[in-house]
Amino acid sequence: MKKILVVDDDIGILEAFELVLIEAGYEVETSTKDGEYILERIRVNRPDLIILDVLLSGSDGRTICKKLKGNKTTEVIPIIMVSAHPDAEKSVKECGADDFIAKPFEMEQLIKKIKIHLKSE
Amino acid sequence: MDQQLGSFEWNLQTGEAIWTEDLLKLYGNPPDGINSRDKWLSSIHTDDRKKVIKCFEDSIKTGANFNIEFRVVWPDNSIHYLTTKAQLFKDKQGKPLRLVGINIDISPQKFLENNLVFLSQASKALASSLDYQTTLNTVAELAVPYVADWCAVDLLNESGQLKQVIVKHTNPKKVQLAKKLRKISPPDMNGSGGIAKVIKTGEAEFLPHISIDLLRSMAKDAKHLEILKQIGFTSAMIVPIKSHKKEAKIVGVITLVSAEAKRQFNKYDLVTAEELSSRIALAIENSRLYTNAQQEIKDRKKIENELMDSKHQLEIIFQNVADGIIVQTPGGQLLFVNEAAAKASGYNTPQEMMSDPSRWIKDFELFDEEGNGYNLSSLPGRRALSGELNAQDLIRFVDKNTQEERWSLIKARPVFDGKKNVQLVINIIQDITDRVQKEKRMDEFVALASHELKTPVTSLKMFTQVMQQRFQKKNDKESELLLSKMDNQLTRLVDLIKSLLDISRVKAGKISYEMETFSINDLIQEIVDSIKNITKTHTIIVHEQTKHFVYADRERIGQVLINLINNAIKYSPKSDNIIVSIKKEKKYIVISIQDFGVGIPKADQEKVFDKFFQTSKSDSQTFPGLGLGLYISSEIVKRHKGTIWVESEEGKGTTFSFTLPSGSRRKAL
Repeated sequence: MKKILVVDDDIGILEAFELVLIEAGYEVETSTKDGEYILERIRVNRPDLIILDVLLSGSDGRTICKKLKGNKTTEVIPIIMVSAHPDAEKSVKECGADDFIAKPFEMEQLIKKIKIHLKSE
Repeated sequence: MDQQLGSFEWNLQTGEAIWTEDLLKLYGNPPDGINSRDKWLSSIHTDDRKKVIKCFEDSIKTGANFNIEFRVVWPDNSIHYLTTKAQLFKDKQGKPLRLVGINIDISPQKFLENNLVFLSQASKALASSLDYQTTLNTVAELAVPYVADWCAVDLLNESGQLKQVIVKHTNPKKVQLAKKLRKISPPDMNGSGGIAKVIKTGEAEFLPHISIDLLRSMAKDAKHLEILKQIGFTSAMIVPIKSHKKEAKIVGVITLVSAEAKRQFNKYDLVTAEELSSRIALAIENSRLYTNAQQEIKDRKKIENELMDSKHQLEIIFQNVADGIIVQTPGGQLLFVNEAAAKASGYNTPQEMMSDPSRWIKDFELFDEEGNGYNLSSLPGRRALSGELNAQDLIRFVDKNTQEERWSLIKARPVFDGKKNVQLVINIIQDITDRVQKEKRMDEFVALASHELKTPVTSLKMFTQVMQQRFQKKNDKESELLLSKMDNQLTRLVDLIKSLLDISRVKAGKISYEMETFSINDLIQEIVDSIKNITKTHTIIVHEQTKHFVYADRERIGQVLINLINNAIKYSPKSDNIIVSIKKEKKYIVISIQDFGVGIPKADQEKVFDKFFQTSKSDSQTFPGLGLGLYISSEIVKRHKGTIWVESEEGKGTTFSFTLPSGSRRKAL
């Protein structure tokens, strides 16, 4: 079973992600914690895919993304960034994220994107 | 001038006198001749008699020559001037014996002389004042003992009525009589004689000798005749007063009358009277001109004062208007600057700004609404100078020293002269910094709020969809349907949030446009197809008059099309056709969306592209929505350098059209 890590500072949305992804047959870990904690978690319990919100209260999702993509051991993990800001797509691509999805989205859209990135891995 | 003379010889010792016929003629041919000293003396004017006797006696006493001027009164009462030159001869004892001499009639010279003296005095009087009532009075007073026994001046007023302005008589009692006469017998303007005749013909009426028969013929009745007799007319002249203008209009008459058998007027008197009337006419004209000029000056002064007053008031009003006002000439000179305009431009006073009108350019940096540098050549005032009627711009002024920023809405209107050249430009500068800052805070809030709203809505959508899947698996169709309805409502909520966010971003110029070349026809077809899937109430017909590529943001133009077509559907609930047409006009592609619905009231048509606009139809028909679609659409079209407009008639329908510049590639936005 593929493991997906979802990072967002809103508990409500994390619950929703968890439900949707479990329903779709994935193992899910969610976190509201800040950047350092997450980087540590990824080293300990390596996910197959990361869903990362652009704006986190502790640190910017883009900073985490850059760090992961700059590290040889984590660079291959696909990252889908999420934002409520429709113009975030451009900046997201710049920090090395594999994909972007704007809030709010249709569940089907999300699952489709996840499948694509897990397959290519 | 023919001078008449006659000679005589008088024997002083015998009293015998020899008078030639010529001499008798000079005394008016008295029927009994002149055969004695007393008879001779009696024909001399009473006023002159004494001096003649004295001169005669002196001559006899001293033996000097007899040389004197005197007046004689003829049997017909006319007065004549004579001069006598005689030589005294003495006998051997040295006693006076004979007086031999001649009489010369010097009347013509004398009359002329008198008349000239009178005229010169009259002229002096006439010229002394510009009030003709006063001068006429003076002239009449001069004329009365000198020329006539009484003098009257009648003037025609503007309505053609005769008004007696002066009556003078040597005897004041007679003035009352004359007034009485005038009262019982006013001049009959339709009559054939007297004043009426003079006014009609413009010729003087000269009556040197008025007989009792003539008076009788003039009298209306016995009472009238009695008064005429009492006045005792001897001789009369009625002379017209003619204006000196080209048409020689008659302005009145002067009547000179000799009464009580004192004297008879002669031709010299008539000449004098005519000359007098001409000078009176001139005086009246001068007086009228002067009065008119005075009135004109007075009127002008009044208007000037009023103008000054109103100009002053306007200045006060304009100076104190909260908005800045600058009036400039085509040459760029400032004609008027008010306090607010000067302050807004960084000057302390309007005077300071007028003396150095371009200083502000160095003090401020200008930006347009989107934050780009503002080109000074597109200032509304400059555009108005080249004839643009409604030039206006929202400009952000940043003080280079303090970095303080201010937003000004500048509107400029040209004022044209008769030849449609720009004569003036009026600039109104409205400081809307507060408004802009408030709007900005509002927009930021809306952006933040809609952003924040998206997260819970995203969760809701995901939960709903998971539940939907679960019910699907359980084959619970009813619950699944309910959840799909819930999902649809959530989609609507998402769309609303999206437009809220869009509006703040459109405003701030934050939308980035992804320009690409694409077929507008394909885009329209795509959107029409997608709407057809949702809408079952309307048929959307596409008229393609052209196939064309445009260089634009495909998604944003798609958004405009969706907005306009959805609007057309929303506002035509009772009809079923929507026509989308594409045509080419000059350099533009014109896309129109026509419905046959409720239409937009004329008053609202200009406002439909405003933010939050809702049609103000008062009937029960209401249409939900935030009123943002048209605003966002118009902003998107504007950013593509296109235009958007509406044509609509209430009850018949509405057509929204927008243009996109054709061509496959243009400068990126």
